[in-house]
Amino acid sequence: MRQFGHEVGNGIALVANHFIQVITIMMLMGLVCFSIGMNLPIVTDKAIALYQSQELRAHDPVYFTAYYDDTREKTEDQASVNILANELTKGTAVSYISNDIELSHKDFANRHHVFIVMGSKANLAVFGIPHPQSTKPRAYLGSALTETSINLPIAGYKLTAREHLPANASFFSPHGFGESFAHYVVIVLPPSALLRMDEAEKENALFNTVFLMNEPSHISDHDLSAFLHSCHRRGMDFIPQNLSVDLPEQFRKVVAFTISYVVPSLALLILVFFLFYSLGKTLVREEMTELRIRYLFGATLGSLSIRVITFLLLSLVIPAVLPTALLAYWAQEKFVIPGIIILIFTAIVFVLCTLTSMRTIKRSIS
Amino acid sequence: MTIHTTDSTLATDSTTVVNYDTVSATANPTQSPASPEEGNTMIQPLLELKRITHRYHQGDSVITALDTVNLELLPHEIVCIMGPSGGGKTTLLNICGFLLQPDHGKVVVNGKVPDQSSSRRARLRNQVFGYIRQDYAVIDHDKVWQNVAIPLEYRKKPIYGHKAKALCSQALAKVNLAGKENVRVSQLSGGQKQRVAIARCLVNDPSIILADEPTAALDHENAQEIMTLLRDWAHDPTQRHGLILATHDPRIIPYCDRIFSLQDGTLTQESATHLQA
Repeated sequence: MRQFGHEVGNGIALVANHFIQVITIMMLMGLVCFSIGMNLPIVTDKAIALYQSQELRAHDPVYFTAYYDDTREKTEDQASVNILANELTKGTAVSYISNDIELSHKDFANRHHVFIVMGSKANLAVFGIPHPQSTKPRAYLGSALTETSINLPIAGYKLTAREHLPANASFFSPHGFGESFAHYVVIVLPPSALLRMDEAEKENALFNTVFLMNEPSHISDHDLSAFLHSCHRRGMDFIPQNLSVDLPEQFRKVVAFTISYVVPSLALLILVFFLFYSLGKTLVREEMTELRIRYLFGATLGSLSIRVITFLLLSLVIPAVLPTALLAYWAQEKFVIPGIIILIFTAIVFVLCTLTSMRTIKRSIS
Repeated sequence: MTIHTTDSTLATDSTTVVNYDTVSATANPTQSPASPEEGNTMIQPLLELKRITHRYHQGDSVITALDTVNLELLPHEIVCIMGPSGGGKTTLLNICGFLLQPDHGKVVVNGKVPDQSSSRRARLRNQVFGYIRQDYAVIDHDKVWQNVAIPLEYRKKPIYGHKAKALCSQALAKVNLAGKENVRVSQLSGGQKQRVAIARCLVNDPSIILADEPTAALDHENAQEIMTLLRDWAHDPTQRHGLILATHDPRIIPYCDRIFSLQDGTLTQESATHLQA
């Protein structure tokens, strides 16, 4: 036991000789963890959302790009709102509100981003939400939100969000790409709630309308025309877009976007890991003389391995894991995947370096 | 295959150098002093190699490093193994020192064949043997006393701290490095580093020192100093010490009691006069 303590103590003392390498490893791993941690969620959110949008695409969806004419006099025409509410009820449309929610209520949802989805086919636009088919009013907290509950008085409902969404919950917008729900409060409302919203919210819902044209009871040409005219009177000129036509182009954009993030990150990762392994081998090589001498004068390979393992734990593993742990503590969900990648690689390098050092000792002695 | 071995009947005394070969002990200025055990009919060798064979595999070919080698090291004796590089000298020393297990044959220490468990071998390396290497094998970034104290850490009852430092000081004094305890090894000359390596051997009071090219990297003056130190240690009449040297440095010959040549795996006892010629 005393010998064990002595070997551990000496393993710790060895680290002092390698201060610069230890700092280098910490900086390298911090850099790689930060870089991947920042890039990966962006890429995965968009990739997951786009992948999941395939379901929406199967419904032959039509969405709208809007042009706002500020020179024209606007009215608060309710025909488009009524048509949308009707289509939402029929299950031939989905819509969401992502901006301008409860503008008069500054502290609404503790000032978190709020996302309201409507329509029984909301699961087509919103993913990862339990029971998406139900239109029963309810609310969820994003996985990154720390609150245990938030009261949400909206459209005549007094909702309380208590349940957290899964970490991978995200949404796909035909207008943009995908986004994670991690920092959002998500509210599911029945179509009738739309009629009780304020004008800014209604306008946002109209803009985010998606009609599902493959449904047997999809919106008629007459209603669609009335919808567009009503929106025109509200100051918005809508141009219908077919998502099935646009999606391949969006998919290409996402792939290009993903490559622009992933390739440099991967290159950095490979570079850093080779550097890390090489540093590990250098550390062991620099201590090989001492290990050989100790073996000559009575150390067993067992006692030397305690020394080497202690040394490598302190000079390789902890410097590699510490920045990752700090980053994960600072922004949990972002650094989980890079943290796992770094942990796996660190474990591999640690085992390789330990085995290499033991084999080198045996070989160099004999 | 010719096998030249030490005749056990001649191994009655370490001072009977003349018996081994044609070299007269009195003709050798570095002759061993009379052993306190002189007159004993049976002197137990410190170390015996019995029919040691060891082979290396190099690709498809097999190289015989040692071929049925026999050797005895008696107390107060300095045995020198000479031969070309790659001739198996280091392999022989490694087998002597339980750093390498031979393919065949056995190594006897003080009349007993130790078991080959790793902990037992480690204990032997610590208690019985001291090692000196050509490359000094010292830890440059450590202090002198920390280098010397290493064997003390692996004793059955390890010695650390002040007690270890005191023992190191005694060992350093024996190699004329008194007062250098706290100096970094990197600040020492080559000769001093080798003396640190010798002090490290001495600190644990081993009975056998195995020195592999101990003077190869040293100038004449330092080589003489080192060999004088080792000879005095081996010939100390109050102790049962023995020294095996592996070298191709002819400067060492005058300090040795018996000289062997190792070539193609075969150990042959040589005449010192022949070697000097």
